[in-house]
Amino acid sequence: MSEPPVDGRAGRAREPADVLIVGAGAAGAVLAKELAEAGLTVVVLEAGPHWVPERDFASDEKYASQLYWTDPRVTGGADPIELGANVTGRGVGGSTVHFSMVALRMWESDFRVHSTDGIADDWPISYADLEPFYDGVERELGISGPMRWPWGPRRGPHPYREHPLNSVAQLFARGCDALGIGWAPAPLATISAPKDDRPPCVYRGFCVYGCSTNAKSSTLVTYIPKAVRAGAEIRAGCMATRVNLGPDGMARSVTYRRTLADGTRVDEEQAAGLVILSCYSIETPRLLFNSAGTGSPDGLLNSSGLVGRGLMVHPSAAVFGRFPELVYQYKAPPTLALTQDFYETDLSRGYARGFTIEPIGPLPIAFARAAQAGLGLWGSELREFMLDYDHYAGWGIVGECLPSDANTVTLDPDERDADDLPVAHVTFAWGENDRALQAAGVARCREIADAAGAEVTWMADDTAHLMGACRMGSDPTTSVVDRWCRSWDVPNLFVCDGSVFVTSGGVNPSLTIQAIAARTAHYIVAKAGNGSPRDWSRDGTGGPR
Amino acid sequence: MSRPSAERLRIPKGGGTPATPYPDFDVAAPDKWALDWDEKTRRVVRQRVEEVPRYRFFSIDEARTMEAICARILPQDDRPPAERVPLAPWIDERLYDGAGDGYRYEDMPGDREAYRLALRGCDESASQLHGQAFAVLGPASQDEVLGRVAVGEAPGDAWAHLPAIRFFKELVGEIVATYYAHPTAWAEIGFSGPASPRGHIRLDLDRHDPWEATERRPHSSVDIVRRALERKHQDDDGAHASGGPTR
Repeated sequence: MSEPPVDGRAGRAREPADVLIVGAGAAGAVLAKELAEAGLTVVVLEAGPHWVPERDFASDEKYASQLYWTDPRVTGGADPIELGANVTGRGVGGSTVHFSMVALRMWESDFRVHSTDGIADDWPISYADLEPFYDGVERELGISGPMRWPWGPRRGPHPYREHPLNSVAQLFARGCDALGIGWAPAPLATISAPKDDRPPCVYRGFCVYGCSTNAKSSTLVTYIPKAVRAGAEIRAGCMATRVNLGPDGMARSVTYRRTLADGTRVDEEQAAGLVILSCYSIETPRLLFNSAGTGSPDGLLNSSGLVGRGLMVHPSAAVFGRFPELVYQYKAPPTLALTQDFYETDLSRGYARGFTIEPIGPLPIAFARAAQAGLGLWGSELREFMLDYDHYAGWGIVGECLPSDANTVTLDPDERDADDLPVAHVTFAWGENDRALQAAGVARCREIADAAGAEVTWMADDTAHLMGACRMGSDPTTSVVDRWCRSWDVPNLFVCDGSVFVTSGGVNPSLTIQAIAARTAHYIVAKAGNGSPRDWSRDGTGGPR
Repeated sequence: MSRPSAERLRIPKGGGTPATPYPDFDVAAPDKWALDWDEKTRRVVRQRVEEVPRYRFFSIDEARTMEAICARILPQDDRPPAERVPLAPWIDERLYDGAGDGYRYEDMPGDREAYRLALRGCDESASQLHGQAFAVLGPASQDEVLGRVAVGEAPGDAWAHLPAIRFFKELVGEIVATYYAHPTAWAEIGFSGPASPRGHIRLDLDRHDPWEATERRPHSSVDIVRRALERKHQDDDGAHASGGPTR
């Protein structure tokens, strides 16, 4: 632990960075850009590759598996979560490279569900705390959406004009109109007009398999290039394996395994004044557990015992309808309209909180698997069914999942990865509210499909997005990080990603993850002064909180 | 080295199946090839079509059983053998490479062991039900065995070590993902396939770009779906214990 940090390629000592960020996804990229532009020296470790879209992304559903975290993990509990494609990303840009781009804010009530609904816990921050950062991230990404937004907190127009509705969204709108349900064009992180050096969306429909035209506002083509221009170093192919503390209990460095050009893997170490973990709800807890030491036998930052607890996933069951018209559901971004008419608690419904309903446009493999899951089809029936692919349209919910400390990320006692590190073990079960909410959401989806003129409908279960497992709070005994994402246990170690969520909300989480990251960056810059490295110890000027 | 990517892929129009609603659709027609298939996509899909891997993981007997299973999960009797989309070799390659999809269920062994057990299980079930190995049974008997695996009622010692219902879902999922990754399957179902850099212009309901598939022989899945829902409804009665929130 006492050797100087070493560059694996050259064997030279590396300068300690002001800030070391682990993970170049939704949060890490925002942090890197904001902190580097403020004059701090920033190094980002990313386990996966640094993608070049036109070189690396094909118009192909199967090939996209390279974008997912496919290292081994174990999933279990009463309702095991499907990991892999739906909920993970690997490589610079993280899951923003393959997310569905829906850019919704959480609502005021999302941050105080304990106060308003008597469930779960309030967040230590409010919507008002995040609002300026939502604004900033939306501008940076060029979110394309309506001038006026009919739901949630009052807000100004989206920075870019909305996209046209595709056929699936037109059917969705037709169904909503027939039922008197409000709908709006979806705000999306893909541009509808040129921005910087990026051209607008051409509606090719492969958005969730990597955008090869750069219209999609992943952090790979937005925040990361700006971070690099401001001097941040993105070190790809580097898998963090341990956070090292110094004798003073402060984070000193991160040990990581770098994959060299010839495929061999070497251990290296990078020192920094401040370390931020942005590895998302599974790898952040896993790294903390794998960093256990003498002062922290149950894992770093785990004095509350809450590291890895409170994992949430959005129930996202979908309903598909067969329509007489030709739909060609594969064209354009999958979600071009949505409704939030069922978002907040309505006690007459018999469950707390609610959901957003969003059209989807699965490509053939995803659609065939939905039919397999939803209808149990295989054999000649499945193949014959698939001949009708162009006549289907579907929409699904993004439903709130209430947090439970019994839903966890732990280290698997037996299984290890290729580097001999224990893999993550995920345990999950739905609660009663989750089930009631999803049943209601599916019923609404079905009504909309029927009203739109579907000849027959069917439902396929699904889940999407991870949240929680290192929650933020205002009490060190009931949370892992404070309202700025700074850990309670190690003053210069932050956790900043979707794992700090206290509750899940009923919206796609990326925009909120990015707003939280921008807010954390703002705090760090304010505390760091004029770009100079500083003392982050608790009794130094890093406090008060 | 594979051929230069400028040379078009030769794929049967309409996927080469008599039942397709899109008999004249060519997913790699000259204008599409020029405007929708970027260089990277050409390389990726050409390799999939032209460089089918040889067996390295399965034994000869296992490969034969795997091929027989694939032929029932995704039947292609309507095509001459040489025009069928290869399925089992890709499963073999994934298992040989040790590649996964990022997770393993806690009640399942790793993929390699699971597949070996399942292949043995299919033979055990076939032998107990029909007195023969799975690969030599007729299609109806093979479907019976697979149908029993699907609902967790297949006889045989191997199934005591492998949750059959869960494995069957994974198996069908992998075969389906392999089949619908092939341009022959895209053409058959009227999926326009690669679309970069041109993209799509006509997004409205009932409209399509001239280079997309035109429906010539209307086909409806409504009856198949109604039958499947009826079966599922029967299965669901008394089987509420597991599964997602709404099952």
